[in-house]
This record gives sequence, C-alpha cells and structure tokens, in this order.
Amino acid sequence: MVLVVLQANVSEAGYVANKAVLHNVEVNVSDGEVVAIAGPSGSGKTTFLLTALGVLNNLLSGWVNGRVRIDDIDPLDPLGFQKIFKVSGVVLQDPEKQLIMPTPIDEVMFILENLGVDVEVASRKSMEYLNMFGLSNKAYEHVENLSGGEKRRLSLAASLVHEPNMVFLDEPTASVDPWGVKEVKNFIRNVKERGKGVLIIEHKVKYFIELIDKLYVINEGSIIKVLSRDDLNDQAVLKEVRELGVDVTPIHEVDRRDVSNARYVGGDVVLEVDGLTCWYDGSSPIFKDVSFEVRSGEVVALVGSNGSGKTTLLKALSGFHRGCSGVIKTKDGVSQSGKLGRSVFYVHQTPDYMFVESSVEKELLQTSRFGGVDLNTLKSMFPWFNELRDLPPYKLSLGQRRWLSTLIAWGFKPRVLLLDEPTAGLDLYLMRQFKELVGLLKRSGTSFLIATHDPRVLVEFADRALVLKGGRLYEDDVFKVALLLESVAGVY
Amino acid sequence: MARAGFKPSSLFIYSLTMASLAFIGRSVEFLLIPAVVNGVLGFGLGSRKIGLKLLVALMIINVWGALINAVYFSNVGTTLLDLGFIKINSGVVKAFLMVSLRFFLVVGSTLIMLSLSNARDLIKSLESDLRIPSSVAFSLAYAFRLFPLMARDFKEISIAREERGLKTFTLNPKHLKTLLTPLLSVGYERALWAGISSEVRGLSSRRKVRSNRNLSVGDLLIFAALSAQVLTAFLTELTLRLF
Repeated sequence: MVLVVLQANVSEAGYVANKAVLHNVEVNVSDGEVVAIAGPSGSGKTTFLLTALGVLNNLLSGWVNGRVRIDDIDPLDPLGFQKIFKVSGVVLQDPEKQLIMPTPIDEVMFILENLGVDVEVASRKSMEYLNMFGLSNKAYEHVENLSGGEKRRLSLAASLVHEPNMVFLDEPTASVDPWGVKEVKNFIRNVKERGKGVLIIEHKVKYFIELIDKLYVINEGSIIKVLSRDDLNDQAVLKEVRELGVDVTPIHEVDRRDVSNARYVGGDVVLEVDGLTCWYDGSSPIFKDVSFEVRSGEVVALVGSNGSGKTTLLKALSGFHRGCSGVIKTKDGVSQSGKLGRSVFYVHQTPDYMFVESSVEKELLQTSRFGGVDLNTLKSMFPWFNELRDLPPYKLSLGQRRWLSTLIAWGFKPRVLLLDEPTAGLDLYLMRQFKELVGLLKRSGTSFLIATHDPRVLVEFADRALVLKGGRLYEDDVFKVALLLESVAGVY
Repeated sequence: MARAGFKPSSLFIYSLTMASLAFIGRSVEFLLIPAVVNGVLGFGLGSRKIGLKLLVALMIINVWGALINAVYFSNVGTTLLDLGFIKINSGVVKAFLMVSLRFFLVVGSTLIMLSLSNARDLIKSLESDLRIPSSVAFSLAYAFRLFPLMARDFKEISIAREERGLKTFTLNPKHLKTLLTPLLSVGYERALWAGISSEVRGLSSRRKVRSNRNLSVGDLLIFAALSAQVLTAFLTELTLRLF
C-alpha cells in the first residue's frame, strides 16, 4: 500500500504579518515518490520548504495558515516541530551553511546523537555512511579541507544516516559541478529505491527529469501547474514550463540554433599567459605550463571540475595567488610580482565580499571615485538604481548583487574581468539577466574570463572554452564542452 | 578526545572563571598577570587555528574601541599630554588599560579553550559534566566551525578591498566599518542557516549522555593554573592596598 509521507495544504504563509508569500499551495508526496517543485527565483520555493518543515513559523517568526503532516507529525505545532528530525532528512542549498560541525564524523553523528543513539553504534553507523559516500578517509579532517563536491556528499550522508521516510533537497545542484550533480542524482535514485519520499526544490529540473514522478510549478507563491510523469515526456508541455523560467530541456534540444552564429571573434590580444605553473606551499603543481590568450571583447569560459584549479588560475592572474611561475602579460605590461595593476579584476562567486558601503548609491560613488568611471554612467548601468539606491547592497536579490559586484569591477576599467562561478544559484531568468550585463560590458570592449561548470554559460554567451583537466589546459569547441558537462551530469 | 587527556569542560570552567575574573577586577594590577598569561598563550595557540591577521584585526578594533571609550568617558585626573585640541589625562590611560586587559583575558582564555579541544567532545563534556543546555553547548562548539570560515571570509574581503583601491587593513575606525560590514553580513546569513540546519536535525531534542569519567592529571593541571592565577590576582591587589 502506498502511504503519503508529506501532506501539505497551505492556504497562506508569510514572514511578516498580513503579507502572504504563499497562497493555496497543496503538495503531496508518497513513499517511493520523487516530487519536484520548480519555479523562478522569488517564486516561493524555499518559503514552501521552510513552511513544510515548520521552520517558518517555529524559527523565523513567520506565520502559516494550513495543515502539514510529515509521517503523521505536525511540524507546524511546536512539539511536532521538535520531532520532525526523526522522520525527515534535509539537504540545504549551500553545504557551507548546512555543515555545522568541524569534522565529517561529527557532522554525520550529530543527528544520531540527538536521537539518543549509543555513541559506539552512532560512530559505527556514521563511518558506514561516510564510506558509502566516499568520505571515510576524511572522517577526521576539518570540513574546511574538503572540496565542494565532498562537502555536498557529506551533507547528503548526514541527511540519510538516520534513515528518514522523507528527504527534502533545496536546490541541491546550486553549488556543485556536473560530477556532483551526478552524485546527487544517484543519491535521489537510491532514496527512491529504498521506498522513501523525496521532495526536490530546484529550477534546473532537467538534471532530474527522468527521476521525477510529479512536478509542481510555482510562481508568485501559487502552484500554477502540476505535471505527471506522462506530462514530463511531452515536449509541448515542457516548452510551456521552460517559458515560465524553469530549466527543463537539455541544451542539445533547444539551443543549437542560437549557438551557430553567435560566437564573437575578439580584437587585439589583451591578456597573454605563457607557461604558467601554480602550486600551494609544499604541494605538487595544481596545474602546469598553462598558456592561452584572451582578446578584447571576448568571453572565454574556463571549465573544469571542482578542485581542478579554476579559482587558483583566476587568483594567479589577478596576483592573489603567490605560488606561481611563468609569464602573464597584458597590453599594459608584464606581470610584476604577480600584479597586473588594474588590467584584470577578480570577482568572487560570493558577491557580498565585494561590498564596502551601506547603500547601492554609495557603492557606485566609491567605485566612481576610485575607478574613474563617471557616476552617472554607473547609475545608468544598474537598472534598478532609482528604486534601490538607498538599500544596503546585502538586501538586494542574488541576481542584483551579482550585477552590482560585476558593475563595480567594471568601474575600475579592467581590460579583463575574471568572474568566478557568476551564475551559481541563478535561475534561467536571472542567468539571462546576467547575460544581458555581460553583453553590455562586452560592447565597451571589456573581455571576460569566466570560471564555470554551468553549461548554460557556454552555450548562451561564451565565445571560447578553455578546459582545465588533470593539471593541463586545452581549448575545445564551446558547444561540445557544454554537451560534455551535461552528459557528465547525466543529462542526455 | 581532548589533547593531553583533559575534559573540555575543565577548559570551559577555566575560560569562564577567567572571564569572570575580568569583570570582577577593578584595578590594572589585579588584571595584569592573568591578562598577559592568557593573552600570550591564547593568541599564540589561536593564531594557528584562526589566522594571525584576523586576530590582529580584532585587537585593533579593541584598541580603538577602548581608546575612544576612555577619551570620551574617563578623561579625568592629572594631565599627562596636552595636544592642543585635546588633553589626555591619567584617567584615559587607566580606562584604556582596564578595557584592553579585560579583552586579552576574555579572548585569550576563550582561544585557549577552542585551541585545545574539539567541538563534539566539548558539547558532550558540557552537557554531561556541567549539565549545560544543548543549545548553549552547541553555540560554543559552533565557534570551531565558524572561526576558519571567518578567516576565509576575511581573506576574500581583503582581496576585494585591495582591488577596490582600499587598504586591506586599516587603523581608521571609520574605514573599519567597511571591513566589518561584509564580514558580519556574510556571517549573519551563515549563522541563520546553521541555526536552521541544527534545528531540523533535532538539536532542541538532543538527549544528554551522562559521563562518569574522573578527573585526569591534565584536568588537575588546568585547575592548578586557574587557582594560581586567581590567587596571584587577589594577592597582588591585597599587597598594593596594604603597602
């Protein structure tokens, strides 16, 4: 007999009084069923997850009108909320924020100890799960020494070790490379085979489409479509869903015609790298003899798995990674002690690191003062300036923060902008918004070197692709690399 | 397991007592020896775990805070320095030293605790030996995870500042704000999700395991060091009052 493990019927829910974020959301998940909720950023996906887990009203001072049951436990009730960990496993969007203990063994044991499991039994079981997720040899290392993929695997192990009946995943692909996506897929398949219920919150549905039994499309806080397994095989239905901002279709099915004549052939060489080798203290080289050039107005994608050295290469080019040999040249001269002055500008994937002022306007003012670009030009290039000028930059949406941090970098007039994973966590709509910004800056002659493992970046706006693999760099066809990334992730 | 075979709860008692001493102390002489001992030991051990630059940043923030506080609220007594626009009186020096010594004592002893124990053992030890509520014990243990993250945030923020034409490090209190704002903003969001992560994994329902472990030589050494410092502080104070 099929049992319903999650029943949620939320008539209204919100963070502040009288301001509902969710309206009439009904979601059911049965055991052995994989259900996805998809929708653009800000549509209410994560709010629903927080509601269903009882976090919204019990921890965040929000409110919920409705009824939720997870395996007969009511998470909206304060006493029920204290019990839901027994029946549910939760994987949050960012492992950096989910992992709370300093070592993997501590992290996995945490929930077992909370359940009162004997320490020796908990320790044995935790090691078993770490082994299952390929982490047993790192059980006692500090979490900070784990790669991004390993952190994601650790978050998966920690969510399953107590064998819950229902597993929740909030945008599990947001911070992993295609290899990590494949691991997440295997995890979901494994949970489904165990007969547990799975709820995935995700806008890149294409990664899981063959595993999904039911897809809810949410927009502006309401469910606007419910698709069955059969619907998900219907291309016409998928096209409709894609138009709503949900990434449901693999690249080879939709984008080839946009790609054929979109590549830009750059102008003069603005960055030349010859025989660059970088290493960390006391370790063997991360990459060796890397040589390439970037031309003006070009968008070059730098592709590689987590830990392949993409970020190190960007930091080496901007002079922030010291352990390197080789030559880095720009139009303005050869690298002096690893510094290229303002010829290049590195932008971290966390845009918040870039902000130093208390309002959007002050950020642009500081950029204008130190960077030299006219303030009005900067204002005109931030489309939300008039409505958001007094807001602290940290209060902007992720898409707006990425826009602002890239604009600030551009304001320092670099020849090449070095962007680290700029589309991580962006839905299709926000990614296209970001593409618009890149197009705008590209027209001013700025070049881009973008570290990414997002196939959409390659297909939609990269002119060339450099692949960093096994410590070596080679150039390949943009579309071929995008297809390779999707096939690694298990999208065919 | 804690190094040298002592209970993390012994280190916690040590750290808590030192913090209490910092608030009881009303004179520079009383605080001087414990502050120097804990400051040197704590910052020495902590710099390996947290990063020297972040600790120096904390120290500079403290120095400025203490100095501004002293100038505004304790500028009394005999004049030591006349700068024309402001006179520095003896009260400023005393107030500055008091706040700084308290800072070294509290932060130093906390760093000693964090450097010599690990998170899981600390939580268990606090819960079982001292019967401290799980949420309090967990908050202390989370610092083990948080400090390396803060050190990394600080490094990335320094890179962004350098690129934006700002000093990676600044002594100017006005500019310190521009360094602290991103650090706190990123830290706040992380802390919020860490709280959610711990609660949906049953932190508030955590069952306590009682421990029957006796005190080891390491524990006795910690308590001996603690007693020696407390006695020295009180004796110094007493001697100065009598003579």
